[in-house]
Amino acid sequence: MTHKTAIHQAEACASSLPALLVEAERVAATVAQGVHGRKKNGQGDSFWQFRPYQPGESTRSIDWRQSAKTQHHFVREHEWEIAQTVWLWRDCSASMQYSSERNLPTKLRRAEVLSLALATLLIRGGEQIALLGEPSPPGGGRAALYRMANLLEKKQQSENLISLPAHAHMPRHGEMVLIGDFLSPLDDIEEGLKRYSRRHVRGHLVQVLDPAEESLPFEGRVQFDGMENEGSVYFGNVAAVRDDYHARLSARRAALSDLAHALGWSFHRHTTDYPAQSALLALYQSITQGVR
Amino acid sequence: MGWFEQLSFATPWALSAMLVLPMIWQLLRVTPPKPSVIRFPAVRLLQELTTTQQLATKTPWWIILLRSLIILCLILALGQPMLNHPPQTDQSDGPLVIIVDNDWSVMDRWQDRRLEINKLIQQAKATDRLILLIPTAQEYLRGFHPAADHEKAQSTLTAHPWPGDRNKVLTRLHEDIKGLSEIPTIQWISNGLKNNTDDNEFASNLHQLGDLEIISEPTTQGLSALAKVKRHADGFDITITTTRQMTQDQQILQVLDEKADVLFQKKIDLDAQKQTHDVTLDLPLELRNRVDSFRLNNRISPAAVYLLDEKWRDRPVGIIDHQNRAEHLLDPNYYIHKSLKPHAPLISAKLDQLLSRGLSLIFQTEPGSMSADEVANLLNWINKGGVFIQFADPQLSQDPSNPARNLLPITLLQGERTLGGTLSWKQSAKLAAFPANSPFNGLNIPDDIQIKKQMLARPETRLAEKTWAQLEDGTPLITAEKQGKGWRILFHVKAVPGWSNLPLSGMFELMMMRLLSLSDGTDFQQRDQALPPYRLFDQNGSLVAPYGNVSPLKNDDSPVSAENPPGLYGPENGLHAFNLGPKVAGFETLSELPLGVVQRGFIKSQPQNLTPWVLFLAFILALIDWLLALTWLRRPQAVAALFLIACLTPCAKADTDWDKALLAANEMRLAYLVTGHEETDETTRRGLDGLAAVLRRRTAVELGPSMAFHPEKDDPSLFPMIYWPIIDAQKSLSTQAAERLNNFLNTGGFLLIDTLGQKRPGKLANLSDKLQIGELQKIPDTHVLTRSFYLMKDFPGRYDLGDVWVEASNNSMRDGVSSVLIGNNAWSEAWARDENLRPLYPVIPGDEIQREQAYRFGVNLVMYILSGNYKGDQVHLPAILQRLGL
Repeated sequence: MTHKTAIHQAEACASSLPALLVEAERVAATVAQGVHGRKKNGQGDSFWQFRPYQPGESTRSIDWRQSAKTQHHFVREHEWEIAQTVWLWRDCSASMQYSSERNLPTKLRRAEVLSLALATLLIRGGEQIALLGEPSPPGGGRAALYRMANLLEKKQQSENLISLPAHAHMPRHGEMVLIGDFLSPLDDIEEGLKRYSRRHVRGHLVQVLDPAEESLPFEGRVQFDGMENEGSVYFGNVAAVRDDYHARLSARRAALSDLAHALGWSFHRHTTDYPAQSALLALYQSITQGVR
Repeated sequence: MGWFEQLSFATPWALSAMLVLPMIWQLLRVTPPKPSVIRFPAVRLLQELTTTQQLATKTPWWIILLRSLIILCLILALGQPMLNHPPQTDQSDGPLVIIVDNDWSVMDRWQDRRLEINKLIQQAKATDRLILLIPTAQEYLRGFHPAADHEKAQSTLTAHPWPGDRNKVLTRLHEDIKGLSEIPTIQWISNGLKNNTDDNEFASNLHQLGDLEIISEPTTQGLSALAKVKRHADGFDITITTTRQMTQDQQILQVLDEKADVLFQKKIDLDAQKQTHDVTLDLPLELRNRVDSFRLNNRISPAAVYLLDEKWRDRPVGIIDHQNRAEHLLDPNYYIHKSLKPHAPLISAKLDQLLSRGLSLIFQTEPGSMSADEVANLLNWINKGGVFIQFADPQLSQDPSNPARNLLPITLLQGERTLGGTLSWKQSAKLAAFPANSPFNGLNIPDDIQIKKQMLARPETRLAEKTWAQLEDGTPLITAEKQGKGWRILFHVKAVPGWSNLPLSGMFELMMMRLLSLSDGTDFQQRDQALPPYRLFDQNGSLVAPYGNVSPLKNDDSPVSAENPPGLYGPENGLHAFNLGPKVAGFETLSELPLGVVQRGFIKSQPQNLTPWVLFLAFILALIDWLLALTWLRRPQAVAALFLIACLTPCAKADTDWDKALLAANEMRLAYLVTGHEETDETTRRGLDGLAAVLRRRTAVELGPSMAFHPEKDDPSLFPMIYWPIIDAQKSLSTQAAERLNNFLNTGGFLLIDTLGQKRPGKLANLSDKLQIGELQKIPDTHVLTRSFYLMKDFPGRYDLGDVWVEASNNSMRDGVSSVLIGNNAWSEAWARDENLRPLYPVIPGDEIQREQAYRFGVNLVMYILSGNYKGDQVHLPAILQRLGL
């Protein structure tokens, strides 16, 4: 599947939502112009203040209209407006390449569609996007979207066993969205997330699961092989462990949710048999309105 | 149950392993199948869980069935199943006597017998039995010997074209068996016939000697012999003997000439329940003279062939026609006619006419007045081998100056002698026995022959030698003298009953026949000598050079045997046919067998070991089992596909017409694509033939007659050019055909597409849709086509519409040579001519100059096709410029 079709899917998915503007109290320090006013003068479109002309300044900076009203020369200053950058990340480990049924997308596919749809909305809102863990700088506009789709596709091809975001450099007060199945050991996840939150990064977690992972629909004697070299486990009767499994999964989800809230982040769950819009809407709300 | 009955096992005890099957069944049921393996991302969560619960699993029934089948197959293979294994009829290991009738009647059934003997010997070899192998029609190894000794002899054993001698076999068998301690088993591979009437007891006699089993065909249908062939005036009477038929049968009687070509054949319905069948064949004289043998039904049997020899050959006989014709019974010629008509063609004419006809015998019954010239001619003819027979006449003795006296073998005394007359003491005389040197020697003389009158010969020293028949008192009745290669023969009686009743007796006919056989130059005295063999029937029923220890044929009555096989005997110029058919006695089928005798037929089919097949089946089943275990749950489609691949054999392809391909390949021909519209096809064919004629006359190109090309069937690569007329009714090409044509175009073929005057027909685009035709252009002025043979500017056909397109010459693949030409000038219609070389269609709008232009275009085109852009080479430019006058 090429990135084009992924983008189409993502745009179709995002088409029902308005442009996404990050509700940012503090914006990561970047130089890109955006819509987030910094309440100080600088580059931007919004008027900030008039101040008297000081000798030595370029005469071109004098606001002639204002100066003509009075006796003094005034210089018009604009508010410094910059764009918030959202770092997107999706788990591309082997376990994401799973779909229990032929007509269900793999989890990875769903994660990518979500990422791209989010990116589309952000770009439409004038924000910047970047792929976490990638060296390429954040960018805006459709070019950035295509660049990202390309990157996603490239990564998809490499078999990856790491299911946690690499500890990449992120500016403080950044905004990040993590999409994955979060099935790796909880301690690892916690440590990884805390590393970011220490830098005042605001995050959103989306756990994408296959319906089979939710319900464990298998019967009889089954040997389960892990997809990331976790080893295997054999059950004489799967039905016997199904309830236990549900309990474990709920516990894992509660733990993740608690962790997110403790960090001030948001947590969303999504299964691939639901449309991507449902997850996107949840993400949209938490990004526009800030973390509850 | 057909083949199941023929199934047997070499080691049946191995089948007892089947008892283990239920155990294996149980074992299979208990051993659970492997758990299904599922790749699952959330395995970490599962790893934290445990359960001791085990599902009581069941192996699917079809897996159990499959595996049981595999085991079953293996057990069957251990048992070594055999198909058509010969049943062990007798398990005794006592001595075995194999009697086989290898006489003439089994010659075409010998293969079965050979296999049967081989089978019996192999069986005996396996059980170390002693064998006595007795072929009834030849000498054999006496006494009992191990099977191995017989193997070699058996391979050379064949059927022989003579009858066997069962009585001899029986007496010898008595002697051979005498020394045995055990009662032997006797296997008699019979020909199914009672050879002689006294053979009735053969079977029961054998049965007294040992346990008899008779192996033979269930019926002897169709076994037949040509028992008798007799000539009649218009052909032949043939008697066929057959075995008693159960049903109506039909056979074909063939009349062959000496090259064994069939001259004539006739279907003969043989009635059931009848053993002799009389057939009358009427043949025209021309065919009759060429008849060499008769044959029944192509059978390989000397009895079904009846050879004719020299004595059957027609010898035209002349009878000198005399003027004073008397009434029937008083005419001497009448008796000659009567007696010779069934045996030879007769011609009555004047002497000089007869001499010009190349006859072998001439009869003179009444001495007409012969001139000296005539007598000299006659003597000359006699010298060359003619036989002249005359009957007595008092005139001959009376006139000493009669030149006809030179024709007499002896000198006659004057007057005739009358015996038994009213004034005579003597009774009418009777015939004495024929002298040894007479050709009539051996004929039975009937008692009632009486001679009443007779001419007397002047006594001379050699009279006795010259006498062929005499009366009891020693006076000659028939005298003869050899002259040159021929004979002069005199009957001392007249050929009318007045002198004797000889012409009325049956012996007269026999005597005439003997005289006939004189004429071929064979000396009758050879008949007394034994005849050396010349060509004999062999075991294949064909005539071959003498073989074996054949002794000369003494007389016709000697039996057909190894010493005297049927065939042709005698010197090459006087062959004597020795036929088997008349000597076959006893066409009775074998019946009324004594109690306790087993009778069976041949087991035709070879024993076949089925072990490899059963093992193969087991292997296939195991393979299926493995495949199922591997893929069943995940990929039912894959299994289905495998099955499909295994089951589906490639569908039959459209066959190439090889005869046509050969024709096309052997000569260069133009071809036209068959449109299905008859008239168009015919016109195109005629057009191409017309063009070919023009090419033959004007250029070095010699084309064969043009050929139809079916795009769906034929291989286009055999033709240099295919002419494709576009009409509306045409069907579009199939993908295969289009592919072939594309290949043809890409490898140097040429397609001339002619829309026959239509301007841009929609059909053209439709039809040529699948063809890979490059970019087209109108023929430029500098194109090679304008100068490949003739210099021309435009290319008219029946029409002169101008639009002629070729592939643009920037095609580098074929050296810039176009492979397609598309136009609408209907060239084929301009080229087409009828049988009288008159054009079929008028050209529009022009005159015959336009037709000439059309032909020139055709010539240019064929030259272009054959030589490419050779004429485009700059080398030719000066010559071309010169001709253009520049």
